[in-house]
Amino acid sequence: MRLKVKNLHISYGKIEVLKGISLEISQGKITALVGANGAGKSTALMAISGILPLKEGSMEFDGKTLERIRPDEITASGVVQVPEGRRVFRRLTVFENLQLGAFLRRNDHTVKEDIERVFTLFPILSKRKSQEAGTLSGGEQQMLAIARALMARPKILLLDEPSLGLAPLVVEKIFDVLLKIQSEGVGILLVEQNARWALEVASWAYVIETGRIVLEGPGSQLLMNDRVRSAYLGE
Amino acid sequence: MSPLETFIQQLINGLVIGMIYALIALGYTMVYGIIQLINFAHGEIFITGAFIGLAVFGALPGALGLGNLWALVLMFALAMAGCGLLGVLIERVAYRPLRKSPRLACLITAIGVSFILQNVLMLIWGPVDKSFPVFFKHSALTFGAFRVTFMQSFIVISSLVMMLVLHFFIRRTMLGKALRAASEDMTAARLMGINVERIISVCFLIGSALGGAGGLMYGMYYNTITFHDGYLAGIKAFTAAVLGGIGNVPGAMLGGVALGMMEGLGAGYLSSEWKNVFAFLILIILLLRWPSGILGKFRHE
Repeated sequence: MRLKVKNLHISYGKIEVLKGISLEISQGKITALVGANGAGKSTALMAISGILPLKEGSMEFDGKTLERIRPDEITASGVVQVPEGRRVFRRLTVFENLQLGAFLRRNDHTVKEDIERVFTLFPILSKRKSQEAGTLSGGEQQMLAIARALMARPKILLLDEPSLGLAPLVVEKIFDVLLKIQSEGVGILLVEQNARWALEVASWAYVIETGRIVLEGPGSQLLMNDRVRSAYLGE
Repeated sequence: MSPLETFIQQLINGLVIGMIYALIALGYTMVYGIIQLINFAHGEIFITGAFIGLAVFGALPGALGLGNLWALVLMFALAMAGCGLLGVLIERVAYRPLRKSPRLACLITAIGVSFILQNVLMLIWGPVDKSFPVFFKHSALTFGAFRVTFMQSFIVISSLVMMLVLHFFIRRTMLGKALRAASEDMTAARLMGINVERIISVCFLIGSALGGAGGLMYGMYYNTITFHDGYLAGIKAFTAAVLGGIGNVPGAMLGGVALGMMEGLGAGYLSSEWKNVFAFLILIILLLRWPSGILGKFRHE
């Protein structure tokens, strides 16, 4: 199963932010999207999730075209986003956040089992389950944001800067879980400032500059690329 | 009557009207909480509830007369359903197309809708006072020197029940949780698969239905209504919502009761002619001190 994004164009008013990008994300693989601030990475994710209207372009998931459909329909189809800045519901408890992740399956009796499952992935959330999400630390909020998305049983997970502002130890913990999720068959699109790590784990990676994909290839190969090394790896 | 008894009697009177304000204030606060719009048409939706109730009563067969519980249930059910649908319709027709416009456009539209509704009410029911039948005619409970009419206890108890149901809905049901989530971060709620447009409709439905119930109580309590009664009651309920902290559901309940009591005391000790002045004066003073209301604006629900 794969998500194909073709020739995505997005504008804010008169400014074109995405000038026709095409991506392919496969189940069970990590795909990375690397680029500087303002290159259009988050815009691309919001467009894929159906939050921003497409000016041009198309999306295809599992052989079916997803065109001009609502965000809830995209989530229902199995493409789920963990947005930049975590955006947990601060005034709701950890448990309620997880319940809302499974909003589309709210009458399903398996929701409880899934909550137990994400608690084994992130044991700290189990301890915090009755706390308001706003009282969690940054790392815990990131864990909650990922756990909340997992509650929707994603086939493709879109992750926007999951390591942003977190201590290295916490980042390591979160990335371990991501690798586990991937090994269970979920496809991951990883948008990361931490380009080195992203390229190391990505089977395929794209480099985006001012709204265009300028380079793509296996992550290991891009790590060797001179242009990538000087622009994103600080070498 | 001793001074203390007078005081308590005025508090009781204030509590009754405060419960009605609270019911209306909930509509303002629920809508504001989710789309940050002050729905100026809400006052008219509220008084429409009274008109629908009156029409239903007029259409009832004689056997279902005054004091018949089923007549009351039917009046409330249809007033709430009618106002709920009216609220949803207004949102769909007037506010939804403006979702991406500047907020001011929506606000001005709301004022326009308010005028349109007021005139529609006048066209249907005429410009003169409509009198309500007197429900629960002679019944009052007396405790020593003060008395609570049956109507007053009916208003307080049924509003309390409605607020408790609302509270349960918002805190415990998945739809209620989705509502809180959407009012906190609409985009994140959308990413969770929540259909935010539907949640907004639910807010208008519930808020307007509660307003309609409040309107019917208002009509029954004051016995006469006119097409423009929604305006002042609406403004007062809006101040009650601001007083409690707009966007905050428990705040709206608290603000309504607080405003009603201030007004009751003002009417009792100064003059009932001055009760509006008294209510707004205290409001101004309170807001100078606590601009975000009693429960503060950072507890959005």
